[in-house]
Amino acid sequence: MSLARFPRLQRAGAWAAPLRAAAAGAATPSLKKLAGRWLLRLASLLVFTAAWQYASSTRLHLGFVTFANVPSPADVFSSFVTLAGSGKLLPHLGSSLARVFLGYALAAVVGVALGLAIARARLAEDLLMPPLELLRPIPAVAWIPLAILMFPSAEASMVFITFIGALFPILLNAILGVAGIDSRLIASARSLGAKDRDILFEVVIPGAAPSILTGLAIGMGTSWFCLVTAEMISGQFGVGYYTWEAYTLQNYADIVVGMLVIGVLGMSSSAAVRQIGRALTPWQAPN
Amino acid sequence: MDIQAMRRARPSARGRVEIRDLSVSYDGHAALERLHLTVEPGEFVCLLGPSGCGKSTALNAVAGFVRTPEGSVTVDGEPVLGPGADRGMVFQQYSLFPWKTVLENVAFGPRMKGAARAEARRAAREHLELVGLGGVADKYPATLSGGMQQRVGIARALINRPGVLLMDEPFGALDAQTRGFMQETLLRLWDEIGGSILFVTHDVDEALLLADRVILFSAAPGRVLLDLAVALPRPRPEDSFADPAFADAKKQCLRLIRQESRRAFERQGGQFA
Repeated sequence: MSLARFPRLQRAGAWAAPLRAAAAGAATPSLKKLAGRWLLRLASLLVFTAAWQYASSTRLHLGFVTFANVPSPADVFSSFVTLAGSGKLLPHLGSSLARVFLGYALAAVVGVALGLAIARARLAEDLLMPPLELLRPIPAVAWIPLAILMFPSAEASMVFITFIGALFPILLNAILGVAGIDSRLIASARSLGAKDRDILFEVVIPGAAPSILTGLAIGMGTSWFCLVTAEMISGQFGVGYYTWEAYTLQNYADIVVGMLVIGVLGMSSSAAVRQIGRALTPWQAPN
Repeated sequence: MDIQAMRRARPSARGRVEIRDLSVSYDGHAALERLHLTVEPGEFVCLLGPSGCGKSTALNAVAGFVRTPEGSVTVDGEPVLGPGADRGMVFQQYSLFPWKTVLENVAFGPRMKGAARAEARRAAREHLELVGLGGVADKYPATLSGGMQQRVGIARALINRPGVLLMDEPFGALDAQTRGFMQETLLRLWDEIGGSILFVTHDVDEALLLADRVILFSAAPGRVLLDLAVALPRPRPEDSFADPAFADAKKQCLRLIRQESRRAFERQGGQFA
Protein backbone atom coordinates (compact mmCIF):
# COMPACT_ATOMS: atom_id res chain seq x y z
CA MET A 1 0.00 0.00 0.00
CA SER A 2 2.95 2.23 0.57
CA LEU A 3 3.12 4.12 -2.71
CA ALA A 4 -0.28 3.31 -4.09
CA ARG A 5 -1.53 6.79 -3.43
CA PHE A 6 1.28 8.74 -5.07
CA PRO A 7 0.64 8.57 -8.79
CA ARG A 8 4.03 10.04 -9.71
CA LEU A 9 5.75 7.50 -7.55
CA GLN A 10 3.65 4.58 -8.60
CA ARG A 11 4.37 2.50 -11.63
CA ALA A 12 4.33 -1.20 -12.13
CA GLY A 13 7.70 -2.96 -12.14
CA ALA A 14 8.26 -3.34 -15.84
CA TRP A 15 11.50 -5.01 -14.98
CA ALA A 16 9.93 -8.10 -13.67
CA ALA A 17 8.65 -9.43 -16.99
CA PRO A 18 11.88 -9.63 -19.01
CA LEU A 19 13.82 -10.73 -15.96
CA ARG A 20 11.40 -13.50 -15.23
CA ALA A 21 11.49 -14.56 -18.86
CA ALA A 22 15.28 -14.61 -18.70
CA ALA A 23 15.16 -16.72 -15.57
CA ALA A 24 12.75 -19.16 -17.21
CA GLY A 25 15.06 -19.54 -20.20
CA ALA A 26 18.08 -19.90 -17.97
CA ALA A 27 18.07 -23.67 -18.18
CA THR A 28 20.43 -23.95 -21.17
CA PRO A 29 19.13 -26.44 -23.71
CA SER A 30 21.55 -29.16 -24.68
CA LEU A 31 23.64 -28.69 -27.81
CA LYS A 32 21.88 -31.61 -29.41
CA LYS A 33 18.45 -30.03 -28.95
CA LEU A 34 19.75 -26.76 -30.35
CA ALA A 35 21.20 -28.47 -33.42
CA GLY A 36 17.88 -30.24 -33.89
CA ARG A 37 16.00 -26.95 -33.89
CA TRP A 38 18.35 -25.41 -36.43
CA LEU A 39 17.96 -28.45 -38.67
CA LEU A 40 14.20 -28.00 -38.47
CA ARG A 41 14.51 -24.34 -39.45
CA LEU A 42 16.72 -25.22 -42.40
CA ALA A 43 14.23 -27.89 -43.47
CA SER A 44 11.44 -25.31 -43.32
CA LEU A 45 13.35 -23.03 -45.72
CA LEU A 46 14.04 -25.95 -48.05
CA VAL A 47 10.41 -27.04 -48.12
CA PHE A 48 9.33 -23.47 -48.79
CA THR A 49 11.78 -23.21 -51.73
CA ALA A 50 10.76 -26.60 -53.08
CA ALA A 51 7.08 -25.64 -52.99
CA TRP A 52 7.88 -22.40 -54.81
CA GLN A 53 9.92 -24.28 -57.41
CA TYR A 54 7.07 -26.73 -57.94
CA ALA A 55 4.43 -24.00 -58.23
CA SER A 56 6.38 -21.89 -60.68
CA SER A 57 7.74 -24.71 -62.86
CA THR A 58 4.28 -26.30 -63.28
CA ARG A 59 2.71 -22.82 -63.74
CA LEU A 60 0.31 -23.70 -60.99
CA HIS A 61 -3.06 -22.06 -61.36
CA LEU A 62 -5.24 -21.95 -58.27
CA GLY A 63 -8.26 -20.27 -59.88
CA PHE A 64 -7.87 -16.91 -58.19
CA VAL A 65 -4.08 -16.66 -57.97
CA THR A 66 -1.64 -17.94 -60.55
CA PHE A 67 2.05 -18.78 -60.48
CA ALA A 68 2.26 -18.66 -64.30
CA ASN A 69 4.37 -15.47 -64.32
CA VAL A 70 6.31 -16.18 -61.13
CA PRO A 71 9.98 -16.93 -61.81
CA SER A 72 11.32 -20.11 -60.25
CA PRO A 73 13.95 -20.14 -57.50
CA ALA A 74 16.49 -21.40 -60.05
CA ASP A 75 15.77 -18.44 -62.38
CA VAL A 76 16.01 -16.04 -59.47
CA PHE A 77 19.32 -17.50 -58.38
CA SER A 78 20.83 -17.20 -61.84
CA SER A 79 19.55 -13.60 -62.10
CA PHE A 80 21.18 -12.86 -58.79
CA VAL A 81 24.49 -14.30 -59.99
CA THR A 82 24.26 -12.16 -63.13
CA LEU A 83 23.52 -9.04 -61.08
CA ALA A 84 26.34 -9.76 -58.65
CA GLY A 85 28.75 -10.28 -61.57
CA SER A 86 27.65 -7.09 -63.36
CA GLY A 87 29.01 -4.78 -60.66
CA LYS A 88 25.64 -3.05 -60.30
CA LEU A 89 24.70 -4.73 -57.06
CA LEU A 90 27.04 -2.73 -54.86
CA PRO A 91 25.92 0.74 -56.00
CA HIS A 92 22.29 -0.29 -55.43
CA LEU A 93 23.05 -1.75 -52.02
CA GLY A 94 25.28 1.19 -51.11
CA SER A 95 22.70 3.87 -51.85
CA SER A 96 19.94 2.00 -50.04
CA LEU A 97 22.11 1.36 -46.99
CA ALA A 98 23.30 4.97 -46.86
CA ARG A 99 19.73 6.31 -46.98
CA VAL A 100 18.46 3.90 -44.37
CA PHE A 101 21.27 4.50 -41.94
CA LEU A 102 21.12 8.27 -42.27
CA GLY A 103 17.34 8.42 -41.83
CA TYR A 104 17.39 5.80 -39.12
CA ALA A 105 20.20 7.44 -37.15
CA LEU A 106 18.34 10.77 -37.21
CA ALA A 107 15.16 9.03 -36.09
CA ALA A 108 17.01 7.26 -33.27
CA VAL A 109 18.47 10.49 -31.92
CA VAL A 110 15.28 12.54 -32.30
CA GLY A 111 12.95 9.73 -31.18
CA VAL A 112 14.86 8.86 -28.02
CA ALA A 113 15.45 12.49 -27.05
CA LEU A 114 11.81 13.48 -27.60
CA GLY A 115 10.59 10.31 -25.91
CA LEU A 116 12.64 10.98 -22.77
CA ALA A 117 11.52 14.61 -22.68
CA ILE A 118 7.84 13.77 -23.18
CA ALA A 119 7.84 11.03 -20.58
CA ARG A 120 9.68 13.06 -17.96
CA ALA A 121 8.31 16.59 -18.36
CA ARG A 122 4.64 17.43 -18.40
CA LEU A 123 5.33 20.65 -20.31
CA ALA A 124 7.09 18.73 -23.08
CA GLU A 125 4.22 16.25 -23.16
CA ASP A 126 1.60 18.98 -23.51
CA LEU A 127 3.57 20.88 -26.13
CA LEU A 128 4.79 18.00 -28.27
CA MET A 129 2.30 15.17 -28.00
CA PRO A 130 -0.74 16.72 -29.79
CA PRO A 131 1.00 17.28 -33.15
CA LEU A 132 2.88 13.99 -32.86
CA GLU A 133 -0.34 12.10 -32.16
CA LEU A 134 -1.85 13.72 -35.23
CA LEU A 135 1.08 12.81 -37.48
CA ARG A 136 1.59 9.30 -36.10
CA PRO A 137 -1.23 7.47 -37.93
CA ILE A 138 -0.11 8.90 -41.30
CA PRO A 139 1.85 6.15 -43.07
CA ALA A 140 5.30 7.24 -44.21
CA VAL A 141 4.29 6.43 -47.80
CA ALA A 142 1.68 9.17 -47.66
CA TRP A 143 4.50 11.63 -46.98
CA ILE A 144 6.19 10.95 -50.33
CA PRO A 145 4.47 13.64 -52.47
CA LEU A 146 4.96 16.30 -49.81
CA ALA A 147 8.54 15.20 -49.19
CA ILE A 148 9.34 15.61 -52.88
CA LEU A 149 7.92 19.14 -52.74
CA MET A 150 9.69 20.03 -49.50
CA PHE A 151 13.22 18.81 -50.07
CA PRO A 152 15.74 20.05 -52.64
CA SER A 153 16.69 16.58 -53.88
CA ALA A 154 15.09 13.17 -54.26
CA GLU A 155 17.91 11.88 -52.08
CA ALA A 156 16.96 14.11 -49.16
CA SER A 157 13.27 13.30 -49.51
CA MET A 158 14.01 9.55 -49.39
CA VAL A 159 16.11 9.98 -46.28
CA PHE A 160 13.24 11.93 -44.78
CA ILE A 161 10.80 9.11 -45.56
CA THR A 162 12.98 6.54 -43.79
CA PHE A 163 13.30 8.98 -40.89
CA ILE A 164 9.52 9.26 -40.58
CA GLY A 165 9.14 5.50 -40.86
CA ALA A 166 11.54 4.81 -37.98
CA LEU A 167 10.64 7.79 -35.80
CA PHE A 168 7.32 6.74 -34.31
CA PRO A 169 8.13 3.22 -33.12
CA ILE A 170 11.32 4.58 -31.53
CA LEU A 171 9.54 7.53 -29.94
CA LEU A 172 6.63 5.52 -28.57
CA ASN A 173 8.82 2.79 -27.13
CA ALA A 174 11.03 5.38 -25.45
CA ILE A 175 7.94 6.94 -23.82
CA LEU A 176 6.65 3.52 -22.76
CA GLY A 177 10.07 2.56 -21.41
CA VAL A 178 10.28 5.59 -19.16
CA ALA A 179 6.67 5.20 -18.04
CA GLY A 180 7.35 1.59 -17.08
CA ILE A 181 10.19 2.38 -14.68
CA ASP A 182 9.34 1.37 -11.13
CA SER A 183 8.78 4.63 -9.24
CA ARG A 184 10.48 3.12 -6.18
CA LEU A 185 13.74 3.02 -8.13
CA ILE A 186 13.55 6.77 -8.62
CA ALA A 187 12.52 7.24 -4.99
CA SER A 188 15.45 5.05 -3.86
CA ALA A 189 17.88 7.02 -6.01
CA ARG A 190 16.70 10.31 -4.51
CA SER A 191 17.04 8.89 -1.00
CA LEU A 192 20.61 7.97 -1.88
CA GLY A 193 21.36 11.58 -2.80
CA ALA A 194 20.76 11.55 -6.58
CA LYS A 195 19.94 14.87 -8.27
CA ASP A 196 17.76 15.30 -11.38
CA ARG A 197 20.71 14.83 -13.72
CA ASP A 198 21.77 11.63 -11.93
CA ILE A 199 18.19 10.35 -12.07
CA LEU A 200 18.19 10.84 -15.84
CA PHE A 201 21.51 9.13 -16.54
CA GLU A 202 21.60 6.55 -13.76
CA VAL A 203 17.94 5.52 -13.56
CA VAL A 204 15.73 6.78 -16.39
CA ILE A 205 17.95 5.96 -19.38
CA PRO A 206 19.12 2.51 -18.24
CA GLY A 207 15.61 1.81 -16.94
CA ALA A 208 14.04 2.61 -20.29
CA ALA A 209 16.86 0.97 -22.28
CA PRO A 210 15.20 -2.41 -22.93
CA SER A 211 12.10 -0.74 -24.31
CA ILE A 212 14.13 1.82 -26.28
CA LEU A 213 16.09 -1.03 -27.86
CA THR A 214 12.86 -2.80 -28.80
CA GLY A 215 11.75 0.42 -30.48
CA LEU A 216 15.06 0.67 -32.31
CA ALA A 217 14.72 -2.89 -33.63
CA ILE A 218 11.15 -2.27 -34.81
CA GLY A 219 12.17 1.09 -36.28
CA MET A 220 14.90 -0.58 -38.31
CA GLY A 221 12.28 -2.79 -39.96
CA THR A 222 9.87 0.05 -40.70
CA SER A 223 12.61 2.26 -42.06
CA TRP A 224 13.52 -0.39 -44.69
CA PHE A 225 9.89 -0.78 -45.54
CA CYS A 226 9.51 2.95 -46.11
CA LEU A 227 12.78 3.36 -47.96
CA VAL A 228 11.94 0.76 -50.56
CA THR A 229 8.59 2.39 -51.22
CA ALA A 230 10.22 5.78 -51.56
CA GLU A 231 12.88 4.41 -53.93
CA MET A 232 10.23 2.87 -56.16
CA ILE A 233 8.78 6.30 -56.74
CA SER A 234 11.75 8.59 -56.91
CA GLY A 235 15.04 6.74 -57.05
CA GLN A 236 17.82 6.21 -59.57
CA PHE A 237 19.76 3.75 -57.50
CA GLY A 238 18.79 1.52 -54.64
CA VAL A 239 17.23 -1.87 -54.11
CA GLY A 240 13.68 -0.54 -54.29
CA TYR A 241 14.42 1.26 -57.53
CA TYR A 242 16.04 -1.89 -58.92
CA THR A 243 12.93 -3.91 -58.10
CA TRP A 244 10.60 -1.41 -59.71
CA GLU A 245 12.82 -1.04 -62.80
CA ALA A 246 12.82 -4.82 -63.19
CA TYR A 247 9.03 -4.74 -63.24
CA THR A 248 8.85 -1.98 -65.86
CA LEU A 249 11.40 -3.87 -67.98
CA GLN A 250 9.48 -7.12 -67.39
CA ASN A 251 12.52 -8.89 -65.92
CA TYR A 252 10.41 -10.97 -63.59
CA ALA A 253 13.29 -12.88 -62.05
CA ASP A 254 14.98 -9.58 -61.14
CA ILE A 255 11.86 -8.46 -59.29
CA VAL A 256 12.22 -11.37 -56.95
CA VAL A 257 15.97 -10.81 -56.62
CA GLY A 258 15.19 -7.25 -55.48
CA MET A 259 12.55 -8.48 -53.05
CA LEU A 260 14.82 -11.06 -51.50
CA VAL A 261 17.70 -8.61 -51.19
CA ILE A 262 15.36 -6.26 -49.33
CA GLY A 263 14.28 -9.12 -47.08
CA VAL A 264 17.83 -10.13 -46.27
CA LEU A 265 18.95 -6.54 -45.64
CA GLY A 266 15.99 -5.77 -43.40
CA MET A 267 16.36 -8.99 -41.48
CA SER A 268 20.09 -8.68 -40.92
CA SER A 269 19.99 -5.02 -39.89
CA SER A 270 17.21 -5.74 -37.37
CA ALA A 271 19.24 -8.67 -36.06
CA ALA A 272 22.28 -6.41 -35.78
CA VAL A 273 20.28 -3.87 -33.75
CA ARG A 274 19.02 -6.63 -31.44
CA GLN A 275 22.53 -7.99 -31.04
CA ILE A 276 23.91 -4.56 -30.12
CA GLY A 277 20.98 -4.12 -27.76
CA ARG A 278 21.76 -7.38 -26.01
CA ALA A 279 25.37 -6.31 -25.55
CA LEU A 280 24.22 -2.99 -24.07
CA THR A 281 21.84 -4.59 -21.54
CA PRO A 282 23.88 -7.41 -20.02
CA TRP A 283 21.66 -7.54 -16.92
CA GLN A 284 18.86 -8.97 -19.01
CA ALA A 285 20.86 -12.02 -19.99
CA PRO A 286 20.69 -15.06 -17.72
CA ASN A 287 24.06 -15.46 -16.00
CA MET B 1 22.44 1.79 32.45
CA ASP B 2 21.40 -0.68 29.78
CA ILE B 3 22.82 -0.64 26.29
CA GLN B 4 19.85 1.21 24.82
CA ALA B 5 20.17 4.04 27.29
CA MET B 6 23.88 4.20 26.53
CA ARG B 7 23.19 4.38 22.85
CA ARG B 8 20.75 7.21 23.37
CA ALA B 9 23.19 8.99 25.63
CA ARG B 10 25.93 9.00 22.98
CA PRO B 11 26.71 12.68 22.50
CA SER B 12 27.22 12.39 18.75
CA ALA B 13 24.05 10.36 18.32
CA ARG B 14 21.99 11.41 15.32
CA GLY B 15 18.62 10.46 14.01
CA ARG B 16 16.14 12.46 16.04
CA VAL B 17 12.86 12.48 14.13
CA GLU B 18 10.06 14.81 15.12
CA ILE B 19 6.65 14.66 13.53
CA ARG B 20 4.43 17.50 14.71
CA ASP B 21 0.75 17.86 14.01
CA LEU B 22 1.02 16.08 10.68
CA SER B 23 -2.14 15.65 8.61
CA VAL B 24 -2.00 14.05 5.18
CA SER B 25 -4.91 13.29 2.89
CA TYR B 26 -5.25 11.86 -0.58
CA ASP B 27 -8.19 12.82 -2.78
CA GLY B 28 -10.16 13.93 0.25
CA HIS B 29 -9.41 10.78 2.26
CA ALA B 30 -7.50 11.53 5.43
CA ALA B 31 -4.56 9.16 5.83
CA LEU B 32 -3.02 10.83 8.87
CA GLU B 33 -4.67 13.19 11.30
CA ARG B 34 -2.62 15.44 13.54
CA LEU B 35 0.06 12.85 14.11
CA HIS B 36 2.64 13.50 16.81
CA LEU B 37 5.63 11.21 16.95
CA THR B 38 9.21 11.54 18.15
CA VAL B 39 12.05 9.13 17.56
CA GLU B 40 15.04 9.67 19.82
CA PRO B 41 18.57 9.43 18.42
CA GLY B 42 19.67 5.82 18.27
CA GLU B 43 16.19 4.50 18.98
CA PHE B 44 14.54 1.58 17.16
CA VAL B 45 10.86 2.40 16.69
CA CYS B 46 8.32 0.12 15.02
CA LEU B 47 5.11 1.48 13.54
CA LEU B 48 2.40 -1.12 13.85
CA GLY B 49 -1.20 -1.03 12.75
CA PRO B 50 -3.95 -2.45 10.57
CA SER B 51 -3.40 -2.18 6.83
CA GLY B 52 -4.27 1.19 5.38
CA CYS B 53 -3.78 2.94 8.72
CA GLY B 54 -1.27 5.45 7.40
CA LYS B 55 1.88 4.01 8.95
CA SER B 56 3.60 3.88 5.56
CA THR B 57 2.41 7.41 4.86
CA ALA B 58 4.12 8.58 8.05
CA LEU B 59 7.31 6.82 6.92
CA ASN B 60 7.08 8.33 3.43
CA ALA B 61 6.61 11.77 4.98
CA VAL B 62 9.89 11.37 6.88
CA ALA B 63 11.55 10.10 3.67
CA GLY B 64 10.33 13.22 1.88
CA PHE B 65 8.17 11.41 -0.67
CA VAL B 66 4.97 13.07 0.55
CA ARG B 67 4.27 16.78 0.59
CA THR B 68 3.42 17.90 4.10
CA PRO B 69 1.74 21.31 3.95
CA GLU B 70 -0.03 20.59 7.25
CA GLY B 71 2.26 19.93 10.15
CA SER B 72 6.01 19.58 10.26
CA VAL B 73 8.59 16.83 9.99
CA THR B 74 12.16 17.45 11.12
CA VAL B 75 15.18 15.16 11.27
CA ASP B 76 17.94 16.33 13.59
CA GLY B 77 16.35 19.75 13.60
CA GLU B 78 16.30 20.09 9.80
CA PRO B 79 12.86 20.33 8.20
CA VAL B 80 12.19 17.60 5.65
CA LEU B 81 11.61 19.22 2.25
CA GLY B 82 12.26 16.22 -0.01
CA PRO B 83 14.18 12.96 -0.15
CA GLY B 84 17.82 13.11 0.89
CA ALA B 85 20.85 11.04 1.79
CA ASP B 86 20.49 11.83 5.52
CA ARG B 87 17.54 9.43 5.60
CA GLY B 88 18.07 5.92 4.23
CA MET B 89 15.12 4.11 2.69
CA VAL B 90 14.53 0.38 2.38
CA PHE B 91 11.42 -0.84 0.56
CA GLN B 92 9.72 -4.20 0.86
CA GLN B 93 10.32 -4.77 -2.87
CA TYR B 94 14.13 -4.36 -2.49
CA SER B 95 14.14 -1.82 -5.34
CA LEU B 96 17.72 -2.43 -6.38
CA PHE B 97 18.77 -1.03 -9.76
CA PRO B 98 18.47 -4.09 -12.03
CA TRP B 99 21.04 -2.74 -14.49
CA LYS B 100 23.74 -2.28 -11.88
CA THR B 101 25.74 -5.06 -10.31
CA VAL B 102 25.40 -5.62 -6.58
CA LEU B 103 28.63 -3.67 -5.99
CA GLU B 104 27.52 -0.76 -8.19
CA ASN B 105 24.18 -0.65 -6.36
CA VAL B 106 25.90 -0.25 -3.00
CA ALA B 107 28.45 2.20 -4.43
CA PHE B 108 25.63 4.44 -5.71
CA GLY B 109 25.31 6.57 -2.55
CA PRO B 110 28.99 7.52 -2.25
CA ARG B 111 29.16 8.21 -5.99
CA MET B 112 26.21 10.59 -5.70
CA LYS B 113 28.11 12.36 -2.93
CA GLY B 114 30.98 12.85 -5.37
CA ALA B 115 33.31 10.10 -4.18
CA ALA B 116 35.82 8.82 -6.74
CA ARG B 117 34.79 5.57 -8.39
CA ALA B 118 37.55 3.52 -6.76
CA GLU B 119 36.81 4.94 -3.32
CA ALA B 120 33.07 4.31 -3.73
CA ARG B 121 33.73 0.72 -4.80
CA ARG B 122 36.06 0.12 -1.87
CA ALA B 123 33.44 1.38 0.60
CA ALA B 124 30.78 -0.71 -1.18
CA ARG B 125 32.91 -3.84 -0.89
CA GLU B 126 33.31 -3.20 2.83
CA HIS B 127 29.57 -2.84 3.31
CA LEU B 128 28.87 -5.98 1.30
CA GLU B 129 31.22 -7.85 3.63
CA LEU B 130 29.26 -6.39 6.52
CA VAL B 131 26.05 -8.03 5.28
CA GLY B 132 27.89 -11.21 4.32
CA LEU B 133 27.64 -10.75 0.56
CA GLY B 134 31.25 -10.13 -0.45
CA GLY B 135 31.04 -13.11 -2.80
CA VAL B 136 28.27 -11.81 -5.07
CA ALA B 137 29.59 -8.29 -5.68
CA ASP B 138 29.68 -8.68 -9.46
CA LYS B 139 26.31 -10.38 -9.90
CA TYR B 140 23.15 -8.65 -11.06
CA PRO B 141 20.39 -8.34 -8.42
CA ALA B 142 17.91 -10.48 -10.37
CA THR B 143 20.16 -13.50 -9.87
CA LEU B 144 19.99 -13.25 -6.03
CA SER B 145 17.39 -14.59 -3.61
CA GLY B 146 14.98 -12.16 -1.95
CA GLY B 147 16.85 -12.21 1.34
CA MET B 148 20.15 -11.49 -0.38
CA GLN B 149 18.62 -8.67 -2.40
CA GLN B 150 17.27 -7.09 0.76
CA ARG B 151 20.68 -7.33 2.44
CA VAL B 152 22.08 -5.46 -0.57
CA GLY B 153 19.30 -2.90 -0.11
CA ILE B 154 20.24 -2.41 3.53
CA ALA B 155 23.94 -2.13 2.72
CA ARG B 156 23.12 0.40 0.00
CA ALA B 157 21.14 2.53 2.48
CA LEU B 158 23.64 2.23 5.35
CA ILE B 159 26.72 3.16 3.32
CA ASN B 160 25.54 6.79 3.46
CA ARG B 161 25.45 6.63 7.30
CA PRO B 162 21.94 8.09 7.42
CA GLY B 163 20.87 9.50 10.80
CA VAL B 164 17.69 7.50 10.50
CA LEU B 165 17.02 4.34 8.52
CA LEU B 166 13.45 4.11 7.20
CA MET B 167 12.17 0.62 6.50
CA ASP B 168 8.78 -0.12 4.95
CA GLU B 169 7.90 -3.74 5.78
CA PRO B 170 11.39 -4.71 4.61
CA PHE B 171 11.06 -8.40 5.45
CA GLY B 172 7.39 -8.78 4.54
CA ALA B 173 8.11 -10.67 1.32
CA LEU B 174 10.55 -13.15 2.86
CA ASP B 175 9.94 -16.63 4.23
CA ALA B 176 9.98 -17.12 8.00
CA GLN B 177 13.53 -18.53 8.32
CA THR B 178 15.02 -15.81 6.13
CA ARG B 179 13.06 -13.19 8.04
CA GLY B 180 14.50 -14.33 11.36
CA PHE B 181 18.02 -14.21 9.96
CA MET B 182 17.40 -10.77 8.47
CA GLN B 183 16.12 -9.45 11.81
CA GLU B 184 19.29 -10.64 13.52
CA THR B 185 21.44 -9.10 10.79
CA LEU B 186 19.62 -5.79 11.08
CA LEU B 187 20.04 -5.64 14.87
CA ARG B 188 23.75 -6.41 14.55
CA LEU B 189 24.20 -3.63 11.97
CA TRP B 190 22.22 -1.19 14.09
CA ASP B 191 24.49 -2.03 17.01
CA GLU B 192 27.64 -1.52 14.94
CA ILE B 193 26.62 1.53 12.94
CA GLY B 194 24.17 3.31 15.25
CA GLY B 195 21.54 5.79 14.15
CA SER B 196 17.84 5.41 14.69
CA ILE B 197 15.49 3.13 12.80
CA LEU B 198 11.86 3.74 11.91
CA PHE B 199 10.41 0.42 10.88
CA VAL B 200 6.91 -0.22 9.51
CA THR B 201 5.47 -3.69 9.99
CA HIS B 202 2.13 -5.38 10.53
CA ASP B 203 3.76 -8.31 12.33
CA VAL B 204 3.39 -7.91 16.11
CA ASP B 205 6.09 -10.52 16.90
CA GLU B 206 8.54 -8.72 14.62
CA ALA B 207 7.81 -5.35 16.22
CA LEU B 208 8.28 -6.69 19.76
CA LEU B 209 11.43 -8.57 18.85
CA LEU B 210 13.11 -5.56 17.22
CA ALA B 211 11.87 -2.34 18.75
CA ASP B 212 12.71 -0.17 21.73
CA ARG B 213 9.26 1.32 21.27
CA VAL B 214 6.22 0.10 19.41
CA ILE B 215 3.80 2.75 18.15
CA LEU B 216 0.39 1.39 17.36
CA PHE B 217 -1.66 3.31 14.80
CA SER B 218 -5.43 3.59 14.76
CA ALA B 219 -7.40 2.76 11.63
CA ALA B 220 -7.32 5.58 9.06
CA PRO B 221 -6.98 8.45 9.59
CA GLY B 222 -3.92 7.30 11.53
CA ARG B 223 -3.36 8.55 15.06
CA VAL B 224 -1.14 7.09 17.76
CA LEU B 225 -3.25 4.66 19.72
CA LEU B 226 -0.57 3.18 21.91
CA ASP B 227 3.06 4.10 22.56
CA LEU B 228 4.57 1.04 24.14
CA ALA B 229 8.13 0.88 25.47
CA VAL B 230 9.36 -2.69 24.99
CA ALA B 231 11.01 -3.52 28.29
CA LEU B 232 12.54 -6.82 27.18
CA PRO B 233 16.31 -6.96 27.61
CA ARG B 234 18.54 -7.32 24.55
CA PRO B 235 19.63 -9.46 22.89
CA ARG B 236 16.23 -11.04 22.54
CA PRO B 237 16.66 -14.68 21.61
CA GLU B 238 13.99 -16.92 20.13
CA ASP B 239 12.68 -17.88 23.58
CA SER B 240 11.77 -14.25 24.26
CA PHE B 241 8.40 -15.33 22.89
CA ALA B 242 7.92 -17.32 26.09
CA ASP B 243 8.62 -14.33 28.32
CA PRO B 244 5.41 -13.25 30.11
CA ALA B 245 6.19 -9.59 29.42
CA PHE B 246 6.39 -10.40 25.71
CA ALA B 247 3.15 -12.34 25.82
CA ASP B 248 1.35 -9.52 27.63
CA ALA B 249 2.56 -6.87 25.22
CA LYS B 250 1.60 -9.05 22.28
CA LYS B 251 -1.88 -9.64 23.67
CA GLN B 252 -2.37 -5.93 24.19
CA CYS B 253 -1.25 -5.08 20.66
CA LEU B 254 -3.31 -7.80 19.01
CA ARG B 255 -6.43 -6.79 20.91
CA LEU B 256 -6.10 -3.16 19.79
CA ILE B 257 -5.31 -4.09 16.19
CA ARG B 258 -8.30 -6.39 16.02
CA GLN B 259 -10.50 -3.67 17.44
CA GLU B 260 -9.17 -1.13 14.93
CA SER B 261 -9.52 -3.50 12.00
CA ARG B 262 -13.10 -4.15 12.98
CA ARG B 263 -13.80 -0.42 13.22
CA ALA B 264 -12.29 0.18 9.80
CA PHE B 265 -14.29 -2.72 8.36
CA GLU B 266 -17.55 -1.44 9.81
CA ARG B 267 -16.85 2.09 8.65
CA GLN B 268 -16.48 0.79 5.11
CA GLY B 269 -19.98 -0.66 5.41
CA GLY B 270 -18.96 -4.22 6.27
CA GLN B 271 -20.84 -6.27 8.84
CA PHE B 272 -19.70 -9.15 10.96
CA ALA B 273 -21.98 -12.14 10.83
